[in-house]
Amino acid sequence: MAIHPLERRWFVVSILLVLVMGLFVLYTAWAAGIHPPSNVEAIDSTRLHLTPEFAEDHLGVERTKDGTVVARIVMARYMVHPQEITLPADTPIVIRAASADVLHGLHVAGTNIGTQVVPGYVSEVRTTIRFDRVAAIGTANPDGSVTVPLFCNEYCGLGHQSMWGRVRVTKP
Amino acid sequence: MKRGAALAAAAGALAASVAVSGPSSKVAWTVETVRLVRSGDAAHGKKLHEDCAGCHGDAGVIDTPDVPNLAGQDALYTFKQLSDYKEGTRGSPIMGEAAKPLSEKDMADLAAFYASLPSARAPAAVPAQASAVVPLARLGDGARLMPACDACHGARGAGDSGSYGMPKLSGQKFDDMATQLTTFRSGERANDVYRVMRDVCKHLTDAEIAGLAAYYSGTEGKPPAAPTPAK
Repeated sequence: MAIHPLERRWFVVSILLVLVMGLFVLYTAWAAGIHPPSNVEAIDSTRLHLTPEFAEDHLGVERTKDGTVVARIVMARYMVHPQEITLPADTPIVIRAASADVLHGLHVAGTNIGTQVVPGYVSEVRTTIRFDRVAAIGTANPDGSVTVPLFCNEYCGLGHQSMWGRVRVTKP
Repeated sequence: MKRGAALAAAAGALAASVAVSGPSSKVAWTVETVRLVRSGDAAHGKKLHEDCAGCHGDAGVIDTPDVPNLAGQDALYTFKQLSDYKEGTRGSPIMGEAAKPLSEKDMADLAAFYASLPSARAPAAVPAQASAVVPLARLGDGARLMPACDACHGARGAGDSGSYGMPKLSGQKFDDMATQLTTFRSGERANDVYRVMRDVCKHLTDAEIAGLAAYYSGTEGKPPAAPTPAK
């Protein structure tokens, strides 16, 4: 089978490009811990405040019996509920977020917590916040903890820029 | 005797804590509920309104300072308030009684009737008392994590049909608006799902409450005295 030399060169270049992009994905996944959350769990967003898990009084941070730290967050135009939470650094945590209306995005600066919050589903992120990373960009508090912003990074309407919250990260 | 009083106080506190736990509103904007309200029968609502006209006026507009104007109000909002009064999640002896006999369909019909009436609009000029809060109302305050009032309530409170159950504020009374903001701040009014209004109002100063009431009502007034604690 005869292959034109120019075609052969294009073949090599395209394979190299695929390999480079593949390496880039693997690097961010391993070194920076960035990968798409894969939790698929349905919930009725219109009745969110009437569900036991995302009831108003049940939001925020809870330490379960087995020691896991779970933070439950509801995003609704144009606020994050609760507005301020405290999470321990260097400890396995679970973020469970749901939208009460439209598509939102949940991002915590200085961490790999970043997920779409799709109405009708519970978004779950399991991670460990690294104190050195949040300390590098956050605001230091007198008690030694660091505060970083939490915000909506999926345009959700006219008040999108108001959807801010704060995460206080404490030393383990 | 003292012990009995302490016991009664403890029982009262327990009853109060039971009353506040649970959802702040039982209304959920499911497809069925939104359809029910959107298909409300304004003609039937007009008949039901005969019992309400004494306080709220024949055309849903009244001069009484602390009674809200209902004319032109967003139907989903009116429906939710009536439902909350009936369920007791919004407390009011008068409105609780008034809403008790209403069925869900009656509430939808009343809401449709009020939404069909021409609303009382605030004068276009912004009162001097409101000038300091205009940036807060239009842009919010990031330092206090407060979203702009207008983001949900529409430009100068004209309403936002894209949000479910957000009231129009334009043309409301100064006194009523100041009372609502003050009672949200104290937690006495707590039928806002996920504490939206309580979380916003907890940051407001008395002067800001008066300014916002002036901004949306278009009239100036005095901030109300601190409300009595929630029963």
